[in-house]
Amino acid sequence: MAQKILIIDDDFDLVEINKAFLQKAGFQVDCAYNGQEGLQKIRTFAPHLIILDVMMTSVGEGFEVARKIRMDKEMGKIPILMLSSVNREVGFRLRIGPDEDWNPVNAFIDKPVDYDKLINKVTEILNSQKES
Amino acid sequence: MRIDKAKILVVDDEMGMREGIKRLLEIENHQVDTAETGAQGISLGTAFEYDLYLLDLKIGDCDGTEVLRQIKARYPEAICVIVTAYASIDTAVETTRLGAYHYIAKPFSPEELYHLVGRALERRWYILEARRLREEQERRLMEVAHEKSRIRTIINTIDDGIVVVNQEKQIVLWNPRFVKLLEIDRKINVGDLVFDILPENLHEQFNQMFAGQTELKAIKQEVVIHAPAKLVIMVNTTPIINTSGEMLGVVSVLRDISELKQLDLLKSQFINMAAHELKAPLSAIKGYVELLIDRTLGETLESYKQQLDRSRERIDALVSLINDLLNISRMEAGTIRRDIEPIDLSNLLTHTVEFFHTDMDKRSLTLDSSIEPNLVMDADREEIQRVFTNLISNAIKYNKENGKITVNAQRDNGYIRVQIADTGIGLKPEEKEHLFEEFFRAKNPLTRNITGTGLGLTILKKIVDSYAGRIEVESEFESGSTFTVILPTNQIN
Repeated sequence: MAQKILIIDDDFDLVEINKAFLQKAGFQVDCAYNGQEGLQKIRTFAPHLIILDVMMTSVGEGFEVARKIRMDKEMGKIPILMLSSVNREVGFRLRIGPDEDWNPVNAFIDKPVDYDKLINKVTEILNSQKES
Repeated sequence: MRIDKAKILVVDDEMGMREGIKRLLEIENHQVDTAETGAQGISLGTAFEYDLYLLDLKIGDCDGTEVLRQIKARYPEAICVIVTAYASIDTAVETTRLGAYHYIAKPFSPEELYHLVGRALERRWYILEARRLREEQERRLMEVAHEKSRIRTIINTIDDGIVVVNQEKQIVLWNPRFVKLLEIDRKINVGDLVFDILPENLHEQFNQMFAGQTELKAIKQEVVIHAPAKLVIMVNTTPIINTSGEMLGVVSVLRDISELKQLDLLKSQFINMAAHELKAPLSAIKGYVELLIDRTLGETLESYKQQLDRSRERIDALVSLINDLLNISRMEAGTIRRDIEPIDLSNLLTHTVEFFHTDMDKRSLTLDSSIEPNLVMDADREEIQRVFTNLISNAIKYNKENGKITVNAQRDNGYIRVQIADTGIGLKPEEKEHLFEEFFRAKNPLTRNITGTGLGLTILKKIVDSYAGRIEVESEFESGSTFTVILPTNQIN
């Protein structure tokens, strides 16, 4: 059975493009356009991995969503790949966890996305999940 | 030293004596006034301070000592020489007790007179010189006091904190701003150790200074003070050096740069946001290009067209965003050239509404406009045009098919009130709150296909604010928004 990926991003075009590439790579893809919709879809769609945009309606909404996922008993283990167009080194210092080192996401990929890299990263994370 | 051209008063009832003395003294270039009665002597002698008074002791109408007394009362330093007959020498001696400088007995030779007058005028010179020096000193002291208080006032008024510390690390001078800036709650006395007063993270600079580590150069550094209030202070500490190169103390100037730091932070946040917003359309364009190269979505003409259309839309949006960014930067730098002139807002609104006719038709929108004629205001045409073009274009973009747009404009007590209402998507309360913020865009499934830079309303608000106007929004989610712009008809300046 195909692995399921949920894309949470507010950019309609990017969702369409990412979806096309992921589907071509053999994944089953569903999408949500904001955090709230995303959290609902996680429960119904039960993805193996979540691709999350760092900023949606409000600054840092992506982090907020990631934090909510991690805090949740059921969905807390789902790996998160965060898409970000803000260079993390100069970016926003957001309180994303109990301390600043606590990182709620498994990996970052910078925008504009290199699609080979995206597929590789997704496969890598899913493989490492299987092993553990 | 003596006075060359002295003013001398001779008081004598004996005309021969009076005129004789006058002539003799005039030969010496002095200027001589005479009085023949005691009353006249007193009147002349107390009206003006002569350099020398020659007073006869026996004047017909009164006692010469009375004239002396009155003159001395008026001018205590006046030099009075008593002219007297041998017979009354005792009385003359007596007069020296009353303040007479000397006496001369009649008859006397011209040489005797010249000798005595010479000595008396020498004395007068010393008196005047002493007086001059005294006055000058007083004036200087006044000046110094004045200068001191002036400098003090300047130091106390300066918006930077100033503290001066001597070699013994004692505070010798400070201003109220210093106390306020560091929120020092104890009373500072001259001689207090600077380290007892300053917060700890400021000690280092003074330590370095006193240890001579800075080789007697100034230290400039940003210091963050956490308590009692969080402040960022630029501290500029400079040694005070005397001519032989010794350090006498240290002067420190403290400037509150918290606000600048805050602006700095806002600026970098803005840059981050801008970078994010610039990358978003680029990401989409790149994605579509990749899809086209990859032929992921198949090779149909339809799919090519769709991807290229979307790419073009995102490119257009990117260009608008860059234009808006440039606009904001120009507005903030104040380099926008404005041509303020009376403009007919009624006309402008009517034309703008007409301009959008086709766009409204495309979405089957009905228009209800009620624009009062001759609404004239002072403004830059281009800026005002931008405000209303943007609002009407938003009312179309965020409307629903078959919706309605209402444009109202009327005079309102020195202001013009323009209302543009739509029956469109509307705003959620939390969206409304952030509406005028840079890069904010209402994002929900209904706005998914609407492009915008997130800067339009920010720029509008900046424009309206710059005319001392106001922009307000009322809105209900899924039923529509009403934007009200209130602009003054006249601009001061």
